[in-house]
Amino acid sequence: MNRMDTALRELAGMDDLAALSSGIHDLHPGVKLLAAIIYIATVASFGKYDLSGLLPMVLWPVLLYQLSGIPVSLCFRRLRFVLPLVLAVGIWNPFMDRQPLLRIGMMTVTAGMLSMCTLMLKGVLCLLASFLLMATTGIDRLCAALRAMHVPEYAVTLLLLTYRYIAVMLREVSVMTDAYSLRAPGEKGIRFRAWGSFLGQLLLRSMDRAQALYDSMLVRGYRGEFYYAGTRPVQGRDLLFLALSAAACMFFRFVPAAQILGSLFI
Amino acid sequence: MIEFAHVSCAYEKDRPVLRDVSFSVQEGETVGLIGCNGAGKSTVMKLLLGLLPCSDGKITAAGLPVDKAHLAEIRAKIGVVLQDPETQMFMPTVYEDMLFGPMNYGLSREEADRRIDAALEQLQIGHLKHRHNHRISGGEKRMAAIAVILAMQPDILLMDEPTAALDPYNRRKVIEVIRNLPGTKMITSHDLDMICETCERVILLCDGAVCADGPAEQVLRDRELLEAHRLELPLRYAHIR
Ligand SMILES: Nc1ncnc2c1ncn2[C@@H]1O[C@H](COP(=O)(O)OP(=O)(O)OP(=O)(O)O)[C@@H](O)[C@H]1O
Ligand SMILES: [Mg+2]
Repeated sequence: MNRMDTALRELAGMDDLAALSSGIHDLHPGVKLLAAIIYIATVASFGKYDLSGLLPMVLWPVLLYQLSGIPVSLCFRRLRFVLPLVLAVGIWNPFMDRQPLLRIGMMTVTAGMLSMCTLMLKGVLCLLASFLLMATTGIDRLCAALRAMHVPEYAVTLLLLTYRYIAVMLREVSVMTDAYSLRAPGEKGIRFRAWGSFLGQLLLRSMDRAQALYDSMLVRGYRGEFYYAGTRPVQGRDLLFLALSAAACMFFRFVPAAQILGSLFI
Repeated sequence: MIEFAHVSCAYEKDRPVLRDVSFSVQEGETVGLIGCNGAGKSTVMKLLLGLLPCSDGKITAAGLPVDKAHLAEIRAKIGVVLQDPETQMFMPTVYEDMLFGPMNYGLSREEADRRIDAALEQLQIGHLKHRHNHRISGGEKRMAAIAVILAMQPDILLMDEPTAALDPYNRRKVIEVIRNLPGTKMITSHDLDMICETCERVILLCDGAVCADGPAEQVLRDRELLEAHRLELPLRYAHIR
């Protein structure tokens, strides 16, 4: 069992999550996608020092995680490889922007520190929302929704194949590392000298495999449509969810909830 | 139903894989395609599905020439079990994989479900229905891959090594299914006993050319012919000197 295997099982785990049932799972995929886009756009629109305004935005995804029965911690565990990248985005801000804003005891909080925290939080919130969308919808239903929203066929096929390609590539890496370690006992990882041929092989093999998979989709009648994903028309509850979601975003964006709450106590 | 007329093809320039191959398969016939490793059996199947262009000759499938204009129509009539089930299954679960083909061809969900259950029942693998494709064993995957194609109920069935990696019980199941299935069938295998039991006619490929084509009874009893092409008599004829 190597690390790629773990990654693979986690990827398959996404499909398991998507197969659960809850009020959130049952919503129309297109509506969920739209709600996620609105949420992410709202998060992005906060000013770069507006940490206090951004904070309440945490509530909406956390509530949805609760409703869909998917633990928030799972998102962080699954995305532990991506998380450092997201957090690294703002890491230089404290050094660039040293203008002091306020003092807490001995420590001076600079504008850079504040904007770093805001950026990090933005990244985490976007991750939370995208993970929830994937975990409650599944790639096929998502693609079907995109098609229904008239996103061009090639773009959707590209998305789908990329997603499947990740799984194919992970599997190839897993198979190849196993084969390598079986014949190189006592070695940890892959010897540097072998990297070139290993990567080249990986690329060739995974491309071949991806081609074969696409072929086998074609011979079974795939022509860019997702009939099998079982789409249904948008219903009242979907629209209600969309309206609620948009209203929540607008509320937190334009009503300084944290400040009002804070002023109640001070 | 299927016709190859002087077909040649190559994956790489100057290394022909098929050379001047001609044969035809009538409607309702079950034909075994045999030959040693690398003889070009899988290539014949790829050509039929238009997954590979042929450099020379003419291929007809289901009465239509295999070219860009007719591909969709042809593929709708052909079901293929690929040699490597790994490359055939791409949906998360067996059930979703089985649903893929029928839904693409416009069946209703109910009809598709009916076919899926029938196919699983035929092969007695109902327990695999909701399993994850990459969490089942090699042989289970092969059975699932066959079920996937059975659910499509194609007019022409191509099977590349359908019994490889199967235990004797499952192998027997697959043989029975092939025997009871109506339609035109073309089966490649190194399991010559299985070919004996399922096919009335056998085509022997060697080095990319047809070197024997006749009734299974006749070709598969010919010890000299088989051994000259790195094959052995099927067990049932092994007593023949
Ligand atoms: N993708 C490819 N690129 C280049 N050459 C290939 C490719 N696939 C197969 N070949 C070559 O084409 C020839 C025929 O291959 P094919 O897969 O049709 O053999 P086969 O009869 O199915 O063999 P097996 O019994 O091993 O399955 C072989 O010599 C093989 O090396
Ligand atoms: Mg082959």
